[in-house]
Amino acid sequence: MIVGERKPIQEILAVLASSRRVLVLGCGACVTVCLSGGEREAHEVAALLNLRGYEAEYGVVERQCEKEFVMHAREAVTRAETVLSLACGVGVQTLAELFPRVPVFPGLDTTFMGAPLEVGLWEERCIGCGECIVHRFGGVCPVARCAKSLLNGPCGGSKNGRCEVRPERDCAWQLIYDRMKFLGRLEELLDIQPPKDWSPSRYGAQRKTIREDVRV
Amino acid sequence: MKIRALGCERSGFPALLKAKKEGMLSVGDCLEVFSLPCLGVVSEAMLFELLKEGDLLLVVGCPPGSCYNEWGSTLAEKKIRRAQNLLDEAGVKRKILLAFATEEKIGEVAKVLQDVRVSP
Amino acid sequence: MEQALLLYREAFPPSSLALEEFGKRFGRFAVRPIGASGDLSGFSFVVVLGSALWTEEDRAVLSASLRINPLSLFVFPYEEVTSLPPAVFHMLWQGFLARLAPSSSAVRARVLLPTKSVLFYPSAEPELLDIFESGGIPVVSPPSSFSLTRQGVDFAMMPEGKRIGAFVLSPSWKETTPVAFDDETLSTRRILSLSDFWQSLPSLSLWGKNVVVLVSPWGFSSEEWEMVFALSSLCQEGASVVVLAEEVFVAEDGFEEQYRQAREKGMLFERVSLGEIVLRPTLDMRRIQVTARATKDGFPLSFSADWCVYLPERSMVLPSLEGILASDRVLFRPRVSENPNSLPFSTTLPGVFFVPFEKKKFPAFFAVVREYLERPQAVELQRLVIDEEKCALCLTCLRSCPWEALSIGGTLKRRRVEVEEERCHHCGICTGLCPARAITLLGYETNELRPVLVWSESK
Repeated sequence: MIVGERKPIQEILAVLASSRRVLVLGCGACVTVCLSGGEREAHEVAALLNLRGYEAEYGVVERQCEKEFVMHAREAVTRAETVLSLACGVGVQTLAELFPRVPVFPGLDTTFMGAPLEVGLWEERCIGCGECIVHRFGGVCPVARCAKSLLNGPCGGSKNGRCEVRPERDCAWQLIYDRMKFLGRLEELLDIQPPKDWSPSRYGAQRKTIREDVRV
Repeated sequence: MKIRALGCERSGFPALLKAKKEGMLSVGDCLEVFSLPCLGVVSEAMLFELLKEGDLLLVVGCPPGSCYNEWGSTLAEKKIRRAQNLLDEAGVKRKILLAFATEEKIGEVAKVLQDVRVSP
Repeated sequence: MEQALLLYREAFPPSSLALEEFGKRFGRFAVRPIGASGDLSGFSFVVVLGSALWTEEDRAVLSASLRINPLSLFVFPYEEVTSLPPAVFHMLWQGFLARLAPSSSAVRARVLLPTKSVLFYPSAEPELLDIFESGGIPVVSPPSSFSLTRQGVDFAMMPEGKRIGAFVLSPSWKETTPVAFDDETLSTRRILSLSDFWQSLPSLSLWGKNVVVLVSPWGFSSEEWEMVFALSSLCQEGASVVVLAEEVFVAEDGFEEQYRQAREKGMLFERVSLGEIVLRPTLDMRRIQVTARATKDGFPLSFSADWCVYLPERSMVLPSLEGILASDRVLFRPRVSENPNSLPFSTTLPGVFFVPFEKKKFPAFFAVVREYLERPQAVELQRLVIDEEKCALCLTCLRSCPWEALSIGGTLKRRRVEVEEERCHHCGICTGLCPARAITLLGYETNELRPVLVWSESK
């Protein structure tokens, strides 16, 4: 799922500046699940803005990236002077596109695609490289989880299984090694991986997926 | 000054009533006391809504080691800290005070209120 | 037409002012003492002149006994308010009555008692079995293979499905030394456990000798502390005895006296931090140099001990419940409850207890289990409401419920979070965390909190 974190309050206040009537619009999908942009969080921000002197209303739509759902908030959006969206980057842009005349500001920093490991803990797992090869590494993705995206073994800088670039993260290659050892497939790591073909990934601007068989 | 106080049914609320009886809570202009089954119910939004009317919010609950619901008090402490940080960052001059007390031990309530009176 | 009932306790009958105001709010009403309630089905409001200190559980038990919807039971903190000046009382009472609104949600309160039977695992000591059977609580013996699932407030022993009220674990006890002894120090052969020391005493000559006793604060029995105090007899034989401990145990009857007498006979007691004790053998390997630091003033202590005697530190090892407690969530396994609010000998799972080490605590243990089995537990059906449509199935509520009352049900087509009413204690932790506001505890919604009591200096 997409994971994001609410922007610092000061940043939000700076961007709202002199608006008066604000609609805080959350999204019922990923940002609800990662506890940053659901109805509860929208209420929290609205209540805080009210204490700060704004006239803030809050609401939530099922998914802010889908026109049919966003339209349900049409009335509330046009009533407001400004909209603070708590959706992921996709939702904010959809909202801005559908309501070009209303100032739309993001209240959330979208960070990564990750897994909820425990209540209150989410970790990155995938960067959308467009060509999934996790099976070659026992199910641990070095593209997303290795700081250097190395495909042919560790960089050698890890300490106690932690990455040298960011010590709070596990060294992905340690995880790969342990997993492949457990599976009895260590020799496979000796196969040389060719340089990754990055053309299916984001380099080259926005990607599109088309399924002609379902288009009407 | 209008004070709103929120206590959990098990310890916080009885502690608040005892504190009022012993004169620890000055009524100021008004004192409203709310009760919840457990402090675990609070959310930051609820705290902000309560602060809409009131200059000070005093929250009292079971000491974390004796919360009947395992982690209700601990969660409340974290949420209150987060809410106060948000208030400070937003420049809203209201305070949320948290005290862990029981009917037998109300000392904490007086202590947190004292800290507030010292700094105007 | 709204019909209201005013219930009062004998000790706090309604004043004429209260009745007058009640009549103004409700055209038709009845007034009755709580005990003599009769048929309450016709009333849309039942107002009770109660106390602010009543908890949700108290109100649920009262609703269950009156057989009414807990949401149509309104408790006014009469006991606390009745002593306030009439004008203030009037304002509070009026405000309370004005805010009463009928609830459209159908909630039912019921009172449950656990089944009166106990299962011991892996087995029970004969003395304990006797106490339970003569106390009128049947003990179920576990078959060679079984598992337990929760059924309401009971456990159900599968595969038969037999209902058990309380599950008692007989732990094993692991003994370690209170301080780590290295091989060199041990090879002096001057370190003995307290029981071994007592046994070897007849063959030892202690005149002029120093005995240092190390006692850990964990897992001792009071009988063992009695043995420590009894070492004072050695002082009369010319030995010097020093006890190094973090605390001296005097919590039981007669122990203060034993402590006093031991000190009178010449036994020394020093409060130290066990973690800072260092033991080293002397060069001739006949004695042990014991160094420590007194907690009260940080003063360094040093003793040349001829004998170093220790009370083993005992820790409890609960039996493994792998395969026995059927739960697909690894939220928590039973641990000893450190919560002073919970019953003694209880674990973090309700209805699961552990047998104490000391046999003399068995009667108290029996009393605790019996109290648990005889205490009615209130259940409020449909008090916790889950809005399937708002729920994003993020699983936050499930993972944060301290009572394991929430689970994922529904079908493969559409999953739902479901609550097992008998296990829900209405703490509301799930409601505070739900990001979609899909789960609510009726009566405690964020925007609907009402003050229970209001004081104001100005009118």
